[in-house]
Formats: sequence, C-alpha cells, structure tokens
Amino acid sequence: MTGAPEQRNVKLTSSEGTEFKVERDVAEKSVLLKNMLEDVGESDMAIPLPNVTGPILQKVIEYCIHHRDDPVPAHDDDTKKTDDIDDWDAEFCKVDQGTLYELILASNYLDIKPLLDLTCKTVANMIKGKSPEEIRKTFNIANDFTPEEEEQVRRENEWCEGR
Amino acid sequence: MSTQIPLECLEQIFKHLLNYRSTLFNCLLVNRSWCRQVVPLLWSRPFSRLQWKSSLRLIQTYISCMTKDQKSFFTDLDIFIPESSSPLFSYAKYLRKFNYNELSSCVNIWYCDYYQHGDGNIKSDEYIKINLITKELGKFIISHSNLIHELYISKTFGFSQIMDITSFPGAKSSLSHLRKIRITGARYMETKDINDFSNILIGLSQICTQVRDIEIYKFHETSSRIIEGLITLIKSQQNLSKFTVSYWNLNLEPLIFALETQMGLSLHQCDGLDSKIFQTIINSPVGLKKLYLTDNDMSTGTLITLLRNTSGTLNQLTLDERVTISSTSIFETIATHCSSLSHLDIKVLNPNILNLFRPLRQTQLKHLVLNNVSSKGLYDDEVFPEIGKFLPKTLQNLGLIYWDFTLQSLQSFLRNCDCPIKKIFLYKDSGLNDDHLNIITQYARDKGILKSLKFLIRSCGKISIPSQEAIKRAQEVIPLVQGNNRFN
Repeated sequence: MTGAPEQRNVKLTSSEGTEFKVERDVAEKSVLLKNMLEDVGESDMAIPLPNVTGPILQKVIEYCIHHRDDPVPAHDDDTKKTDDIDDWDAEFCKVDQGTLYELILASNYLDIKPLLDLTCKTVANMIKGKSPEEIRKTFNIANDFTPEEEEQVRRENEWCEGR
Repeated sequence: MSTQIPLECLEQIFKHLLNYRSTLFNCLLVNRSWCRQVVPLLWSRPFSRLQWKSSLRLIQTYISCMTKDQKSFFTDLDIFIPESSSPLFSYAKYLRKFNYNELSSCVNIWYCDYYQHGDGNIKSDEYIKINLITKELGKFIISHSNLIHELYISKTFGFSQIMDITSFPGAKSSLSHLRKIRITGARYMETKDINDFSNILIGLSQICTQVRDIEIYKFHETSSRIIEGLITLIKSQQNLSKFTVSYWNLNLEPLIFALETQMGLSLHQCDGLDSKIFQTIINSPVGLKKLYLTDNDMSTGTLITLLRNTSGTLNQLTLDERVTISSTSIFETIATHCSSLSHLDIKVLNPNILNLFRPLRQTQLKHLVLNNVSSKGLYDDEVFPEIGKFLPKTLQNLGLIYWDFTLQSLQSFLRNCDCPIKKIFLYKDSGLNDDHLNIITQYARDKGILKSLKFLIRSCGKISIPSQEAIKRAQEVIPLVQGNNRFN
C-alpha cells in the first residue's frame, strides 16, 4: 500500500500451526481479533486460532483485504435481503459446500458479520425455491420424520405454505 | 471435510429466509433438526400479511395448542372445537412481534369461516364474540410467550376493543423484554378507549424498562388523557433512543420535557409546533441526536433556533421543503452551528437553488440526500453542474432524487465534485440511459473510489434501459452497481 501510514503486522496461527501475517486494519475486520488486540496491546506473539484451518484462514484474510475500506456495518436487521450480493463476493463464494460451511463457522467464531451474512446468504439462496426433497438432496440430509410426524408438522404449519 | 450444514449455522442461514415463508415451510419438512430450528423463526411474526386461508389455519393451530379448560369458553359461545392431537410444539411461546389488531383480524376470518360467512358480513352483536375470542387467544399467547419484543395496539375499526393486555396473566414476564411499542389511535374514540390506552401505557411502564422505540399515531384534542400514560411510560424507560409522533394535535410540551438526551425525535403532521413549544426543547436538557421533521407547521425561525441549540449532539437531520422554500438560512445555520451533523436528507423547492446550496460547502456532512420536489424539475445546463461545487469536502454518500439533467450537465457536475464520494444513488424521472451510465463509469474510473451506484432501471420485456451491457461495463469499475425497478 503506497501512501498509507505504516502499521504493524499481526501474526495469526491456524489450527495446523501455519502462521499468517496481516496488517492490523485487516485483522480488525474480525471483532474477536480487534478486542484481543485492544486488550493485549502491542505484541509480537502470534494469535492462535485453533478453530480455523489454514486454507479457510487464507480465504477469510482474502475477504478482509478486499473489504478493508468498507464502513462498519449498520445494526442487525431482522429482515435480511438475499439479492444484494455483488460480483466479487459472489465469485468469492464459488467454493465447494464443505468450504462454504467452514467459512460460516470461521466468520461466526472470528465475529466478522459481513462475511457471516455473505456466506449464510449464499446458502440461503441455494435453499430458495426448492422442495423439501430437493433440499435434502442438495445438502445430503436424511429424512428422520415418521410419516405421521411429517403430516402433523405440515398440518400445524400449513398457514405459511405456498406464500 | 463434512458436507452437512453444521447445525450451529442453520439459524443464521434461516434468518435470511424470514421473508420467504413458503421456503421456510419447505425447510420445516426436511428433517427433525431443521424443523426445530425453523419453528421459532416462523412463529416469531406469524400475523403479518396473511391471506384469508392462512389466517384461519393459523388460528386453528393456536386453538389446538390450548388445553381443554382454556377452550371451554368456546362452548359458552356455542362454538364446537373438535378434539385434536397434542401439537408438536408450543407455538405461542415463540412470538416476538405481537399486533393485537392483526390477531383480531385473523380471529375475524376464522369466525367467518366457522359460520360460513363467505362474504365476511358479520352482524354487529357477533363482534362481541369475536372480541371475546381474540381476548382469550391473546391471554393464551401472552401467558405462553416470554420473548415479545414488539407490541402494536391500535383502534383500527369502530368495533376494535382496546384491551389492556398488561393485565393478562403472565404479562409481566412476556412483555418485560419489549423494545418497540406502537400505539395508534383514531379520529373518533370514546372516553373508554382513551382511558384503556392510557391504562395500557401505565401498565407497560410498570412491566418494561428497556424500550428503545416508541411510536404514537393519530391522537387528537379529545384524547389528552393519553399524555399522562405516555409521560409515565417515557420516564420509566432507561434506553429510549427513538420517539415518533405522527398525526397529532395535542400539546407536545410535556412529552418533550419527559424525553431523555441523546435520542432521535421524529415529528410528522404534528400541529402547534410554534416557537413557544420548541423554546421548551431548547431550554430543556434534551440533546437530540436525530431529528426528523416532515409535514409540520414549524416556522423556519423556530427550526433555526432549534438547530443552534442542539448543535452539539445533532447527527442526523431530515427536513421537508417547507423550511427552505423561501429562506436560505437553514443551510447557513447548519454550516455555522451543526458541526456534529453528518447526515442530511432534505426536500427542496427553492427557485434559487444555488443561493440555497452555497453554504453546504462549509458543512461536515458525510451523507447528503437532495430530493427535488419542484414540479418543473431542474433542467438547466448551467445550474446543475454548479451544485457539484457546493458539495462538502467530507461527503461520501450522495443521493440525488428527481433531478433532471442533460449528459453534458451530468458530466460537468461530476467534474465539479471534489469530495471522496463512495456511494451515489440517483433517481431520475426519465431514468438513466447508457450514456449517463457511461459518464458515471468514467468518473468512477478517474477517481477510483466510487464503490456503489444505485439507480432506477426501466424495462420493457427483455430490453432494459440502461442496457445490461452498460451495466456490465460499470460493474468492471464499481463494485456494487444496482438498478432497481422501483424507488426505495
């Protein structure tokens, strides 16, 4: 980065022990890391992230670098939109389902709300418009309802069917 | 690597499907774990925007959750409720938004279906039954839920009964987490209605203390007793940050006195906002953070005094054209006194636009929406570009609504802007075309900081204006380019 004031790098260690160096403003896109850095102050010690693997941490850092200048997101809104994913983000989420789920877990753990929203929206878009059977097939889920239970769930909730 | 969605992610994912009830319904039927995660979401706001059949089915499920004893009142009303198996979930406990009027409407539909009133014609004495069923269902819901965050009570129809739900069994627990309260009166109300409203407000003041948002609509001279309840409620809250009054012609003074500092005040169609009343705001310790003033009768002089005296805290301001139509002093006051103001959303009708906007340059605004409400629009190749010169150097988000401009004047306008604009939203009556979009794309390429562009798109069959090709070219330079079919 030319012209930007020099800032210290932050070291992060993935679950396998791989070390990543990132600039502080990039690391601070994670509320978890921001709070840690504020508590610890200046330190050369690497921050261990035992819940995040190297490849996933690499992807998370890629996201945070791209969005480093974005404003802090507004307060949580209960009625979320699913149709406002920009091209870069859509491309970023073109990964296999396992990676997508790991990204959801990592963004939840690291408390990076825009990444959590993006990855959850991507899965939500995969669910939209599908029948229960199609959803099961897409996400490799077994149906453990008895026929009677399934019928009762349907009956008790049919007020929201087909809307 | 597992290809199963981790259970802990499911709730986050389903939250993005709250507006897609039929999709959530399909998710319910996937398997037991999905069902357990979806039910609380589906039943958190069940009453909104329901059609006839959905309304009666919803009421059927709520009734099926009641015990034999709780259902006994139906027998007294000569209504036969068939036996049913125990429901799989205690659905009432998941309610978060409780709109008593919507419950009443659903009960009305259920009742019409029960008595085969296909045309919805109900005799006046039958409303007593409907009110009673609504009350009993309301009691049942209140006694089973402990998560209600939003409460809406209104006098929508003449027959609507204003029920003091704070006296229902379990209200203390179910309403103690309220964050938002909306109370809506009506032009004609009986004394009993007003007293009931006031009792609800006083009852709520004893139950909840963490309400952030209170909205009051449609109260008139005859309902002055409501003020007592409102003041009691306002004073009992610890975190009230937004207070909205709309269609009101009662004295605002005692309410304003009751408000705490650092909050947002929204006034719409309120009468009597003369300087004497607002003098009380100024002299009281209210440090407004957000101020929304629309369709009121406040004079420019009063507003200027208000702005000067809330200058230390005021961060967001929304105004209509009334205060700027004949005077340029609002912008001068903002520039001179409102150093904390970062958001301004204003409608303008002043014929001398340049004189009006000149002081904008001296402000510290980051977000500016200029909404042109003149019926003529502004179609002046000389004037429009000049506005660009007056934009504050701190400006990051710019909204231009209903301005008219030629290609050349748009180009000159953008050339004159020397502020670090990251977001532009542009709604033009006649819409943008490819040439407009190309000019903005070139601006984004030159500056390298524009991140978002939103505009109205016109479509006719498969053809859209601007064209998909022009939009794609813009997307190569601007990360978020969004054409909407409607203004929002």
